Amino acid sequence: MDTFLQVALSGVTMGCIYAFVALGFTLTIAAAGVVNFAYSEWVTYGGFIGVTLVSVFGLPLWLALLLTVLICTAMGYLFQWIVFTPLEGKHFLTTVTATIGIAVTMQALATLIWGPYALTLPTFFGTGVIDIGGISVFPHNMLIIAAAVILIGGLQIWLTGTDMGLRLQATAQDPTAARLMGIRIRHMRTFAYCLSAALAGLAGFLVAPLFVVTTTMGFGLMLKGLAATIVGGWGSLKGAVFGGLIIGIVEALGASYVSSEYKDGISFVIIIAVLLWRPRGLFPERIAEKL
Amino acid sequence: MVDTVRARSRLYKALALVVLLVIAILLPLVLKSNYQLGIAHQALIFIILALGYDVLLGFTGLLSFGHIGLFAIGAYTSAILVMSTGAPFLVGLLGAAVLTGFIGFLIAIPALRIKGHYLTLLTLALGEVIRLVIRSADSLTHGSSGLSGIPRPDIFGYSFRQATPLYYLLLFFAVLAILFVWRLKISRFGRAFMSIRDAEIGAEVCGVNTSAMKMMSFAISAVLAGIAGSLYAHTMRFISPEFFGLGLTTTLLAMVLIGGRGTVVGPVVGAALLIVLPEALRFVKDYYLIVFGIAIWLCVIGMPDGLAGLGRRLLKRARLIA
Repeated sequence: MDTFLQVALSGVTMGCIYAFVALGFTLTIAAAGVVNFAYSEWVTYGGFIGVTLVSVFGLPLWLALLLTVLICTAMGYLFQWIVFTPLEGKHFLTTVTATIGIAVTMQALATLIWGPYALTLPTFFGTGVIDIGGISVFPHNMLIIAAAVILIGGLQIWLTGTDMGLRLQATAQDPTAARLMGIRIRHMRTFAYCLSAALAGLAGFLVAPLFVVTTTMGFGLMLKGLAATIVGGWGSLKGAVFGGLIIGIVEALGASYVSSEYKDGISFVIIIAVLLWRPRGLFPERIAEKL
Repeated sequence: MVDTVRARSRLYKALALVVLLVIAILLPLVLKSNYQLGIAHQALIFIILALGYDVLLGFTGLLSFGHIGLFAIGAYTSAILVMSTGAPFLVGLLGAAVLTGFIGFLIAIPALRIKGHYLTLLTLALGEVIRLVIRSADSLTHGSSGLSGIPRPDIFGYSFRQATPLYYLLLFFAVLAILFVWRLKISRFGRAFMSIRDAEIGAEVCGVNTSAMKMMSFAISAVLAGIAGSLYAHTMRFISPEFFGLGLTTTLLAMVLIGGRGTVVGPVVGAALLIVLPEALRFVKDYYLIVFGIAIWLCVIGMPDGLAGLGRRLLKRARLIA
């Protein structure tokens, strides 16, 4: 039982990271219809910027986290301006290919700036382990889970309870109708890009102490985020969160009880299974997608 | 009037093809070192692969991210057949083509039910699963250390060990692939593929069996990928699972898109360009990738029909002026 709880806890931790990534990925799909394959690099840059701020500028971790998220938000703003606006309303093939191109450029740039070697980021609470009822817990894992609960809860309240959140939802559901109702969909989309980039920066920063920061770090996370998006339902924010948690937990359980060799394959098998049996995901959007 | 214009343009096209073929045949006289010939080998192999991908993406409009998985299966099938059973090269090639064609057919069955981004993500997952299986099947594939010492092709006692004969063998297959895809495009199958791409419901209403045609498109592109894979294995003599990753998928996609999807000349130009350019620009390798990424983005936005479409537009303008 103890091992089960231990494994489940690490699964939930990774699940929260995947949920962040999937949320950020889904936000631009929902609000602007842009599938952003450069998202992997946004996450990578989050990790690298965090490392740079901590080890080169010697900033305290909290400040570095805040600055990382701010810099990533600015990056999102810049990107929507230059890269994404020409892509809105275009065919899926176009957006995917164009953003893959951007990802290639960003990855090459990251290798050029930070070098090909792995960098490390310290955790907030050292490497000590707390013992809670027989299972050992890394404080950093608890921080990730707490951040996820607060952020996702806050996002849910904001989306359903505030005027701006409702406007964003309206933009996601039907941009034309939203524009006719006097919603500035350009602003809403800009906001979605910035939020998406902020989530990427946060995910990159928080996941860095668990692994190491490399130029390919974000790519693996984005594949898991994609799996979460498929499991949860394409374009559904709620689905992204649950999908992320499901992928994280199933992956952790599979790695410890079946085979750790196939750990990375698990999420792909989940993608294939879900697409074959429930192509619209487990938590599909209420509004049917136009085919 | 229209007929003469069309006949003349067909004549020009045929003439350009013959000139290109002559250049290709004479190329080994210019390329002296094995290194340069090696690049030419790769370009010819990727021309076959890109042509197959174009059948799926450009003709039928299906975006698959798992095509490199089929390429890998072709390479491994042929290498294992030849190395472990001592079968001749042609048997390996045939085995690769049959197996990848069959797997392409199998992939098409679930792919018929889903469309658009779902299809792309399904094939992405399938491609990665294929790669993981290859990496894990240690006894057969030597896992992540790869297969080395794959023999060069040998057909009826004639060895293609040397770089120049191998070049002509690959050129033969590439020309065969070009003729096949060109013939396919103007056949009723090609027209059916393109009608599915442009208006699937319309195609169905007009009596096109869209399911059968999609399966056929998957299978044809898979067979070409298998042939390219087999040729790749026996040319490079070393294959490892890491090579067949998503990075190569990106390159393949860029070849077809930059060259011009839906055309025959597009993938040929795209593949040759994207194999030769990185080698020519080796001295600025880090910067090459930066420019490559931006070039993909620019090409998609500003030149949606690729170089082939650009060329056609320029030709039309020149004709209007004249």
